[in-house]
Order: sequence, then structure tokens, then C-alpha cells
Amino acid sequence: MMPTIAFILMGAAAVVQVIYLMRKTENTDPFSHFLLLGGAALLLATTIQRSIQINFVAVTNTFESLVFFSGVIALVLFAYRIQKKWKVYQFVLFGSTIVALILLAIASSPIAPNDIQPPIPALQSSWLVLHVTFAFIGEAFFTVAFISSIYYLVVKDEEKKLNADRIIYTSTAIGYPIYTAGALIFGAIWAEAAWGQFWSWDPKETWALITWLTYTAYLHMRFVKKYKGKVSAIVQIIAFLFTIFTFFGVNFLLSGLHSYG
Amino acid sequence: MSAESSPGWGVSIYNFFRSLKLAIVLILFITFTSIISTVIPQSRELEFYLGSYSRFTAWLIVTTGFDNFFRSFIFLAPSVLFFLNLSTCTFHRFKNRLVKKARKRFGPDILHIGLLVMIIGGVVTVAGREDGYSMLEVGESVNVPGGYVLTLENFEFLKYENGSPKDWISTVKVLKDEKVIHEAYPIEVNRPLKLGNVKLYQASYDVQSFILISDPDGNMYKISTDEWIPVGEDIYVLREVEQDKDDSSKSLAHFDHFKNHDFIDHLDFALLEYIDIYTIENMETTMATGLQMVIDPGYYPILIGLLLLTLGLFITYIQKINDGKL
Repeated sequence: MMPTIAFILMGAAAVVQVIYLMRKTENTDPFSHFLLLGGAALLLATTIQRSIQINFVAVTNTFESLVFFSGVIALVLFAYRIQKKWKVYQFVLFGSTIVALILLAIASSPIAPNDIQPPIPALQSSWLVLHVTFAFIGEAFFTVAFISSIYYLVVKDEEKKLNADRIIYTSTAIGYPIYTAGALIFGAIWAEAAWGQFWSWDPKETWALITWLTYTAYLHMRFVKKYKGKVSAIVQIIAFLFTIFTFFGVNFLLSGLHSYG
Repeated sequence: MSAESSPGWGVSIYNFFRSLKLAIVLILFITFTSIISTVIPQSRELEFYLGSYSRFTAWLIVTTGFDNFFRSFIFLAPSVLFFLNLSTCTFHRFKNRLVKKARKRFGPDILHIGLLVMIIGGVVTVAGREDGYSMLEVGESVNVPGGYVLTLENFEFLKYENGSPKDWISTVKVLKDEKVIHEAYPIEVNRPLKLGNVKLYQASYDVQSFILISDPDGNMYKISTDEWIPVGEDIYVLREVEQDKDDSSKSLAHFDHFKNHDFIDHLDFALLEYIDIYTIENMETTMATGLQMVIDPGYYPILIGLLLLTLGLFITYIQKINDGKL
């Protein structure tokens, strides 16, 4: 029930955002971020409720991961909207909200059963909780960078491009260390404790590394003048598509150790 | 340009390896080839590739090493180049930071050193890792490198109410030179036991079923899982014993019944029931635990690398906040 209400609130936020987007005003709308905050609170409450039911942090299957990921995106958008340091465009708020809504829509589909299942032995580890939560928090920032990259490529105004570039960079610079810690460092430590090796070149691990390498390439490209701007924005978009493939594509198209989430 | 002003070959090589563009090219190359590797099944026989792809594609996969990508030249060569590139960049950056009066920003250096240490640790693991495996029933012992003797005292397979596995617990007693090191250590998934440089992991389990049958002359026979009882043209294959520990009369032995090699039906027998001329005198199950033993000389280098990587990320992050970039 709570994810459904969250979906309605976030859907309402997207409607408000798109109305303001069509008005072609420079200002962002005054209240969609409160709807997002409400949605985030309900999604995180869902995580807490399920955690109590399974007596473990509920991030152990695809449904729970999607709920958490979507909630964190909504929370990050709220944080971006209320901060005063950088100008966040309505397009970026709207696009990121749509991503969060798509994730929730997938959570309600048959590919993500919402049965409450206690964790199997391999998943009963604090390192797993850190691994999953940090990776998704990092990816929530990558979502903002992704939509900002699209904005960068479609907008003509140079000042807006410059500002979008700044948002892309800051979102990546915040998300990158969190993602690195979660997906790679905590993941490796957990794998060592559970299976006796830090890295086994499982398809999900390889794709997490591919994603990380692409964001690493982006951060280094910014030091090379000719790669700045359009090229980096394209690399950002590719990196985010890799992020999504690592989450979904590997689960459904490639087999390996991570088939549960 | 005079001969004096042109850089020597040593400087040229140094400049080549410290190039940021080289780093970007190598990262993108490793990324691209890794993507290809994930869609090609790894470590299969040549026949598999010939059967799954055209002859030319199969030849290309095997020749380029994409059939065993992470041990192939196409992965290892750019990785070695990347290691040299990262080492040179790190040294150059670090040297400049020390010499110049620029802000001391060591976060990225620590991060890069962490990556280098991790790569070294990975190489040490590949070169020196030893894996062993042991199936033990309760009461059985195994020698562990380092002079340890490990005895399985108890093995539990816990399940949730819905039947899914909750935990496998191998309680072991460990002796060294007849001195007790661990009286009862529970090895679980995510909770390995460390003995010197050996780590033991809960890796698997096995259930074995046994029955004792007697013929009319009083001869006793022990039948294990997947063994059979031949009676004329009939064969009864023992599949599993479902043991009721509280009431042995409720225990059941599940058989597959064949006649002239054709499957007829599944049959269940209780204690003291007859299978043709044979009587079931006893039935029981035993469980065995599968323990994986690992000696990994790369463990500490990788762990130190991970810690440095974390520290480097954290310092870089804090420095960027202090610089007003975040």
C-alpha cells in the first residue's frame, strides 16, 4: 500500500513539474519537492516495515532494491531542490522523478515479486547491507548527473550548459566515492567473507567494474580540455546506461552469483 | 631544434607513461573488451564455441583469448600498461606535490596507491592462492595446514518456516599439538574460521540416507542413497530417507521402482515393512558439511589496498568540500 501511495505522490510531483516545464519559466516549481519528500518517506518506511518483518535490512531482493533506490532518488532530488548553492533546472527535477517512477513501476511488475522472504545465509551480512545501500545512494546521484547530461546536450544557452556541466560534475563527484565504497569495496569484503575471494569476475562484478571504469574515465576526461562538455556528457549517459544494465540486464540476461538482487 | 633541447628516450617513455590520455584510452579499452567478455561464455571447451558460433567467430574468440578473458593477453597486457601508467602518474603527481608550493592534495595519490596495492595483491593471489575442500560427517577429522586438526562436532541445517535455508552451522573443535585451540567454533556462511594463514568457509552440505535390510536367512545388507535392491526383474533404487527422529515408526524410505529397466512408480516403505523378500530393519540419515580451505597470500595486500582506496576517496571528498567544489 505504501509504495502505491508513494507512486501517486511522485506521479503528482511529475505532473506539477511538467506543467511548470511547459510554462517555460526559469523558476522551479514551489512544491513538487515536498511531494517527492512524502514519496521518499513512504518508500523508506516500506523498507523499515519489511526489515522488521524479516528481521534484517530489507534490501535483499529486486523489489526491495527498487523501492530503496527510488526512495533515495526522491530524497536526493529534495536535497538538490532545497540547497542554494547550485541552480537545479526543472528539466532535471522532472527527468529524475520520471526515472524514480519507472523504477517503482518495475517494482510493481511481475519481474520483481514483492513476497516477503527472509534472507538466505549468504545474504546475512552487514557488509551486504553496506554494499547495496551505498551502491544505490551513489547511483541516485548518478541519476541526477544522467538527466543533467541530457539537458546539457539539448539546451542551447551557454550559461545553462555551464551550469548543467557543474551539476553533472558535482553529482558524479558526490556519487562516485559512495558508489565505489558500496559496489566495489564493501562488495569485495562481503564476497571474501561469504565465498573466500574478493573478486571472482562474476558478470555482475564485471559490469559494476565496467560502470565504475566509465565514471572514472569521465572524471579524468574533465582534466583534458577537448573532452570537456559534449564528450563528457555523452560518456555520462553511457555510464548511467551501464549502471542500469548492471542492475537489471545482468540479472535477467547473464547468470552469476547475484541472481537474487 | 638542437640535439640538446630534444628530450631523451628515457624522458619520452616517462612522459608517455604518465600521460592522462593514455590512462583514459586504457580505461576505455579495458571497459570495452570487458563488455564483450561478459556476453561470451567463459572457460568452455573449443567444441562449445564451434557449436555455438560460426567457425570464424569461434576461431576469433579462442585466438584472441576471449574464451578465458581475464587470463588472456588482451586483458593482461592493457592491465600491465595501466599499472605502469598509474604508477608513473602517481609518482609524478606525488613528486610535484612535494616539490611545488601547491596545496597538498594527497587524496587522489592515496587512492591511486590503494589501487596499485590492490592490483599487486590480485597478482599475488593468482600466483599463490591454494584451495582445498573437505566433506566431513560428525566425528570425522581433517588435518589443516599449519599442524591443526579439525574435528566436526556438530552440523546443523536450519530452515525458515517456509522451508528456505536459514543457516548451515558446522561446529568444529580445533587442536594443535594436542592443545585445544577452539573447543567449539561455529563456522557459518559469512563467518569463516581463521587458523594461521588458512581460512575455512562453510561452502556446502550433503545428506546421505541409509537403510539396513535383512533377507529370510537373516543376512543384513546396508543400502545407501542411489544404491538398489535387485529382486528378479524388479529393481528398487533408494532415493531418500525421511527420518522422523521423535517417532521412528513414522520414518519413510523413498524408492524408485523399475522393471526391466523401465520406471514403474515411486514407492514408500516404513520400518519393518517388506520389499519383496527383504525386511527393512533400520533407516537413518547422516549429514556431511562441505568446508572450503583457502590459503591466500594476497589477502592482506588486497585488504590494505581497499583501506587505502577508502581513505583516498574520503580525503579527496573532504578536500573538495573544503575547496568549495562540492
